[in-house]
Amino acid sequence: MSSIGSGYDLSASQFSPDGRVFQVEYANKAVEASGTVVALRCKDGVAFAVEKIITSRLYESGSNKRIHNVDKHIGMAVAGLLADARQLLSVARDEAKQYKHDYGVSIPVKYLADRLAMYMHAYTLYGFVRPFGCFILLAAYESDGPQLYGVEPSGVTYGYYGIAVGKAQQTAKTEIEKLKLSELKLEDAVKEAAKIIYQVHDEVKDRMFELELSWVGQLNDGKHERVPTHIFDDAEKFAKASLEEADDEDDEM
Amino acid sequence: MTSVFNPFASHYDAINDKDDFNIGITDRKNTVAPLETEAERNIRTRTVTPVVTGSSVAAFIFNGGVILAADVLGSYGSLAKYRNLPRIHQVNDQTVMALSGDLSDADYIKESIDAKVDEDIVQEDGSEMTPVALHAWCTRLLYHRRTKLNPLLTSVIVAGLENNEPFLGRVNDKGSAYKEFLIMTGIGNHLALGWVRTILENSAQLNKDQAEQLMDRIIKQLYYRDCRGFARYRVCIVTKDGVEFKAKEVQPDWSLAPALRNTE
Repeated sequence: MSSIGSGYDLSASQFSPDGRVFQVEYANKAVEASGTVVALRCKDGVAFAVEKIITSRLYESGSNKRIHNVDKHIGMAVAGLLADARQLLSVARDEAKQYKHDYGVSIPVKYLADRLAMYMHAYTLYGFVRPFGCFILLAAYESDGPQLYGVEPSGVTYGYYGIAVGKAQQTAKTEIEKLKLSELKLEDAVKEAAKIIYQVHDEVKDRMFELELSWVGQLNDGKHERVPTHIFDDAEKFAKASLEEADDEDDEM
Repeated sequence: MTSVFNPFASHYDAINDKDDFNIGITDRKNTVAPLETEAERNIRTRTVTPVVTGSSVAAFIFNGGVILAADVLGSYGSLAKYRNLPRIHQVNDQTVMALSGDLSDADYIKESIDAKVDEDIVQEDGSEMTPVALHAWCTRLLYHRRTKLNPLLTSVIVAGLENNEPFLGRVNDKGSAYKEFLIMTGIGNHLALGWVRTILENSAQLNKDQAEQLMDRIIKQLYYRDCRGFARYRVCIVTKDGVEFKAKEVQPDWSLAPALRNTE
């Protein structure tokens, strides 16, 4: 008992003596166990790439999507528990719909991130609920450029230039730091994001995965959508090719 | 003193007590001040007459598509108050709707449907608002409201292509609906439906240009004879190539007017 929560982890409404809320930290563990999500905010848009781990060959492809649309112009990518994320998605959609009904314009993604963060934070305050086991990424292309926000299980939100969440977040973040995001074009950002997913995928632990790619940017009038098939194929080809290149280099050494 | 049951004691309704039949009843000690407003009397009132209205909409099916037309006037009673209110609304690339009657209710319907369409897009489950679906959806909305004794005072025409076949249907303010190859709302139903039906039934199916010409004739006729008509109008044509809108204006010829008697 002493090695873990020492009894302070049974409720989200109680601090540990050293000021931690264990339930929230466990929620973060759920996020870290998930397939990696990469988001790149580049010059003219935001690209999402998701490593959706397939645990059985018997599943139909395309099920349990990890990238969603909150509104036509806002994309949402999820790391962590998918079932929890679906509730947040429905809350986010309601929020976007209500905003449009009230103000006649689409919801700014910063506002949406704040609202969602408030909702998630409320689930870290009471003994009879548990926090959401997911990290939510929100992306949009607005009049003042591309926007990328992340909401943590604790209910804090940050704006990002680039972010990776999930199993391989450390390696993926290092890869993102190598990119020049301010000069990258969206078409290339999608490829780079796909490449990072292929790079960080652990073939030993999880054999199969499905790549999910989406984008939102200037080139499609600020609509968030899954990338068209030919761009997806190009990105996947690019990712696989650069992986083989790296393998060859390893062999030489 | 304990209260004793007295079957002859009068019971006053504290809320809706504005009767004049209490003359001579003496056991009434306290007089209730007459309640003024309907809200205070707890009477719920509903909008029973439209305020800003749109006049007729005409629509018919031709060979390979549907054509609709409506003027852009929002009348305030007999006052031609808002003179640029298009009443034909594009829902998606195969579906349109035209509205007549109360235009604020029309706005409400448009907003609800746009929200519904956005919802369908966002859910990415492949469902689409086809004309048949929209027609059914409007039926539910309007019938629901009439059942609450609070109808939306509009007539909705839904048109478009369903599996590449032209569709034209109408829902009235009570939610009853029908499909037909020729539909007119408002006074157009009385002024133009008959002769247009004769034309459509006696001719082989019209092509797009013929349909547009006929539509211009209909609108001109309505402009001459409908006091809430207006010269500027919109024509909307839905074919497999998509939805096309045209802004037009009636060029009236009043030269015959002085020869007519009983016009003033």
